[in-house]
Amino acid sequence: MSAHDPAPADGFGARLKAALVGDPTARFVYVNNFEVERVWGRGEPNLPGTGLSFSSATVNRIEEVGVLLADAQDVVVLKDAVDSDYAGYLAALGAAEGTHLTVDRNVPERSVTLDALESPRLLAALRALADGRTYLMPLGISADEERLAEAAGLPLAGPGAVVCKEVNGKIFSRELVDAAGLTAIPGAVCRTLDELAEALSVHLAAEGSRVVVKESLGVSGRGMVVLDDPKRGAQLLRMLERRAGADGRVSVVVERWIEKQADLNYQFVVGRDGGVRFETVKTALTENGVHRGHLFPPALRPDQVDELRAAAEVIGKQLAAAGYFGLAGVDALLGADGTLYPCLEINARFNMATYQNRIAEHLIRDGQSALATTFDLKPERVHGFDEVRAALGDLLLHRADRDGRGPRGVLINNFATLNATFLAGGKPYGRLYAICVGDDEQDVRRTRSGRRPC
Amino acid sequence: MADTDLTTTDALREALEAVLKKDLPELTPQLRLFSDLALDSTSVIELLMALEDTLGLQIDPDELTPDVFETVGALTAYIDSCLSADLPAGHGPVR
Repeated sequence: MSAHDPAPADGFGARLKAALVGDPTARFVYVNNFEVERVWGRGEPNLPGTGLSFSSATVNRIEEVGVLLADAQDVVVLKDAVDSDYAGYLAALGAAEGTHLTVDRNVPERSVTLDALESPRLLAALRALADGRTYLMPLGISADEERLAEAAGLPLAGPGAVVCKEVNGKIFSRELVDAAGLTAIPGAVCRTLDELAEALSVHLAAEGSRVVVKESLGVSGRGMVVLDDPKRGAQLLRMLERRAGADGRVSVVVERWIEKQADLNYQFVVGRDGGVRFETVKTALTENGVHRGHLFPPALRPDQVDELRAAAEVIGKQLAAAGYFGLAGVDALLGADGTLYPCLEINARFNMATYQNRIAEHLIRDGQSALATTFDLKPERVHGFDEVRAALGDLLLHRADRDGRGPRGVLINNFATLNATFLAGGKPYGRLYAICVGDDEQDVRRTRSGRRPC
Repeated sequence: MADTDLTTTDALREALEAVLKKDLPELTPQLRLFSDLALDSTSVIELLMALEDTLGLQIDPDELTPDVFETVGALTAYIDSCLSADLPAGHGPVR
């Protein structure tokens, strides 16, 4: 592949390219390095137990979801080839159009970036793409992706790792919110054990109060703990004192627990010129801080969406001032009392929602609803996509249109995670990522529960 | 060691019930903490704190590996090894 194929003039990919590299028809090489926070967090003080790595073989194969982001001229770097039946399924829907390049050897416990760095054949193929209009586009940029860009001879489509690490800290988010005057959840930034002790004494003192303590560079539920009485606060401090260095350094934020109507996630793109373009807002489905999916469109009033758009402008300008350009996803919260907290944390990188952007524009009609979700399964052997197709039957979303009404059913948007853990060690744990598409929220929830479309 | 094993399993069950906020069935060594009991990564610190409460032992989280949290049997074996390292031979757990 040496020349660019015709590129779409619009769509999410084109907008992203125009904002980041000034050319909507550029070629992006997507490297979907999930849990880049692990690299950013190296050497940083962390909470007890957060160095534990669960299901990393599965997490590393979420990278396959990147195939749904690519336009025809784009390339996706993968840890392993896409199941041929699954590739055929996506192609028939127009859901995956880029070229796939695989690493020389998939080491399950390793990120796609580290695998790529150890792949002479792949690196040669990437170097052959260099034409002045081809860019490496990672999920997030750490020192590993900087090394990959150098080894592949391709420029990064975003800023350097130092900037990316800084703006992805929850401490950065909280200080930005305070400085910008956005509605903040009561809490504090803590860089020392003394500051943490003070914050816990303030926010955990009242009867029945709860706080959440979050590691600045934690990810996906790791590096956070919910405390519901002062005794637990004291216990956490003791655990940290036992292991903190002589300087007593920590890197956390403390926030009061807020009862909620909904978690929200919105995305915007910060351009290289500092311009901010709002993309989407979705209801985020979480359990104990762990991401479980998205529902869109969200049940928000127009004025609430306007408030989030205004927050995106404020946050985007601050990100640009810090030297960041690229996609940003922000977690927000609608409190049970109706208060909108527009920024709990900034993820200045791709988010799971980002990987739904192209397919949502391509497939889902105005007025339809979608529920991005996961199915946890216990495979006792490796399964092919055709078996999943057969098991889902009529529930599988298999055509892009229903006589002008838009598609309906379950779109599998990551298949590799079904077999990843079993392939890595024979353990019966697997996960399918899916987007349930339907006429409204009730329809997609019915589909999620396994009931056949009416 | 059968009595000690039973005590450790009971303490683990107590800690898990406090963290997961639900009653649990009888714990067998093969039960997997994450997929069978629905423990999640956010709950690990809370579980360590609850175990410190119920068993009076100090756990160094930096020593832990994911294998320790694989099954009930793996975690009880780890706790027992902490207890036997902490205490002179012949003494039970500090309550």
